[in-house]
Amino acid sequence: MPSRAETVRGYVQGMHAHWLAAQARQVFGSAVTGQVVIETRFRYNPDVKSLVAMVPAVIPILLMMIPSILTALSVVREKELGSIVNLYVTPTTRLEFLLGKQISYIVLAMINFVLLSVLAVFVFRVPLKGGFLTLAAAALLYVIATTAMGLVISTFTRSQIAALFGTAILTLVPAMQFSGFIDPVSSLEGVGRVIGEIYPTTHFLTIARGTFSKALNFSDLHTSFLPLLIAVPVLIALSAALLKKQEK
Amino acid sequence: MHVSNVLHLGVKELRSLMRDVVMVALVIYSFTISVYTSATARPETLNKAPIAIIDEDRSPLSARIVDAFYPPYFLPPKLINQADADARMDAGLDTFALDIPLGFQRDLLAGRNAVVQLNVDATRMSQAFTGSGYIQSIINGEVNTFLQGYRAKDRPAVDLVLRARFNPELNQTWFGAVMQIINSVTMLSIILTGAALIREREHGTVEHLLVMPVTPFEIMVSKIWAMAALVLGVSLFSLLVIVRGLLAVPIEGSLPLFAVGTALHLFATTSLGIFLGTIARSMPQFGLLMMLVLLPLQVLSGSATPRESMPEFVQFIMLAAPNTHFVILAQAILYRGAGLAVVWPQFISLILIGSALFSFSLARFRKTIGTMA
Repeated sequence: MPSRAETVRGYVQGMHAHWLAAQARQVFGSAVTGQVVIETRFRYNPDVKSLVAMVPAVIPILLMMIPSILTALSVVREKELGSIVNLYVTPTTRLEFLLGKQISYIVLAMINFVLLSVLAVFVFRVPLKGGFLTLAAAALLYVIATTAMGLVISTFTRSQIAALFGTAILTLVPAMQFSGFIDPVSSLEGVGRVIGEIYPTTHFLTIARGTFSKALNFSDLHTSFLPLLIAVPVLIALSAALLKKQEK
Repeated sequence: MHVSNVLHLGVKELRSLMRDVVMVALVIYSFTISVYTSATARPETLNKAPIAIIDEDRSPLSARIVDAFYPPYFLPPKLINQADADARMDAGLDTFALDIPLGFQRDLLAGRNAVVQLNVDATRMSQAFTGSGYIQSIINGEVNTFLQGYRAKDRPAVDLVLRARFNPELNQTWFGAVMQIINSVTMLSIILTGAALIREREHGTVEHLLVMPVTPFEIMVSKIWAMAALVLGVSLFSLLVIVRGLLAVPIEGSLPLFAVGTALHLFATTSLGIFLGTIARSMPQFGLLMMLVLLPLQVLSGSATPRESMPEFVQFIMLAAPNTHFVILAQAILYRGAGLAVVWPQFISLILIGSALFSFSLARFRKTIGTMA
C-alpha cells in the first residue's frame, strides 16, 4: 500500500531530523539560526478530523448509487416481468413513461438526502456552515441527474441482474475514484480525468464540501451548478431516445 | 447428493447467464477496462497537486521556491495575490496556498528565522498530508541551497537511507490494479448468486426446481460452483492478461496458490450471496441489501486503507469478513511472494468462514425455498 509507505516515510524522516536537531542543540548548545519556519494551517478542518472530511463526501456517493440503482431496476423490472407491455400498447409517450418513473424516485432520494443531512449534523456532529438551501437545491439537481443515469442504464439492459450490476459498476467506480472523493480531479490522468470533469458527482461533491466545511453559499458555488444543469436534460433526452417504444 | 445433478444444474446457471449479452459484456468490462482505467488513473501518491503561491517578497529566493514546484508532483504554481487566495481555495481550485511574506529573504540572510504560511485544504485528506510534507522538504531544500550559495553537499552527521521493499517506486498502479480485481471478485460473486436466486423466484422457475428430483443442497451447490468458477476464471484472466501483461505489474508469488485462495474466498462470498437472496423478496430489495453489505466489506477490508489504522473494535469485527483474509493473502502472495507457510492462517479462516456461511445459508435456503415458488 504505497500511501501507507509514504506516510511512514514522512514520519521516519521527521523523527530523524528532529533527533539530529536535538543532538545538535545538546552538542553545540544553541539552536541553529537563520532557518525557515513553515506555519501550516489546515483550513476548513483545523483539527483534521476524518469524520468532518468524510461525511460531506460520502453523501454524494450514496445519493449517486441508491437512486440510480432503484430507478434502473424500476424500468428493467417491468421489462423482465412483462408489464412494460402497458407502455407498448397505450398512447403513453416514452418521455411521459420515464418522467413518471423518475419523479417518485426523485422524491424518495430527496427524503434520503434530508435523512443523511440530519444524520450528518446531529449524529456525526459535522457542522453545516454554509447555506442548507444551496445544498438542498444542488441535491435536487443532483438526484435528478443520478436517477436519469439509472434511466439511461435501464434502456440498454434487459435483465435485472445486468441492470443491478451495470449500475453498480458504472456509478460506483467513477463516483469513488474519478470525482475528487480521494484525489482532486485536477490531479487525475487520462480517461479518469475526462470522466471526472463531466461526472455529476464531482460538482455535487464540490458543493457539499463547500456548504458543509467551507461556509459557502450559492453566490460562491454557482459555477458548480452549471454542469449539473447541463447533465439533467442531456441524460433524460438520452434515455428517452434509447428507450424502445415497441419491442423488437 | 448426485454429482451429475449438481453438474447439470450448474451448467444451466451458466447458460442462462450467457444468454444475457449485456451482462456478459458488463462482466468483461469490469475485469478488463475497469481494472485498467482505475489502475492507471489513480495518481501516484502525490500527482499534479494544485498549488498557488502568494509571493509578497519578490526576491531571488522566493523566485527559487516558486520554480521548485513542478510536475509530476505539483501543477505549475499559480501566482496569485492575497485577495484571491481564499476564493480560489473555496472554489476548490487549489489544495495548497503558500504565502511568502515581505522581507523573507532579508530575514534569512540576516540570520533571523523567517516564517512562511502554508494553507492546506484539509477537506482533501490524502493529498493534504502527503503534500504538506513534500512542500516542507522542498522549501527547506531551496532555502539551504540558497544560503550556502551552492547545492548542499555536506550530509548530516547521521544519514538516513530509506528502502521501500516490494514496491520500490511506491507505484500506485501495482497496488490499485490488484485491489480493483479483488473488489470486483467480491461484488460480482455476491450479485451473481443472489440475483440468480431472486430471478428464479420472480419468474416462478423455482417451482420447476421443486418438482424435479433435486434437493435444496444440490440446487445451492450448483449455483455456487457455477458462479464461483465463472468469477475465478475471469479474475485469473484479468490478473494474467491485464495486470501482468498490459500493466506490466510483476507478480511475485505462485498463481495456483492465489487461485486456491480465490476459490476459498468465492466459496464464502457466493454463500453470502445466496443468503442475501433468501432474505430479499425482490430485486430492488436485493440491490439495497447488497449495498449495505458490500460497502462495509470493501471499505473496511484493508483494500482501501490499512487495517492497522482502523479502530481495534472494527479490526476485530472485520476478522469475520472473508474480504479481510482475502486481501491479506492476495497482498502476501502477489506482492511479497509468500508461500503456504505464510498465508495458511488466512486459508484456514476462509475455510471456516465459508463453511459457516454455507451451512447457515443452506439452512435458510431449505426453510425458504418452499415459500419462494
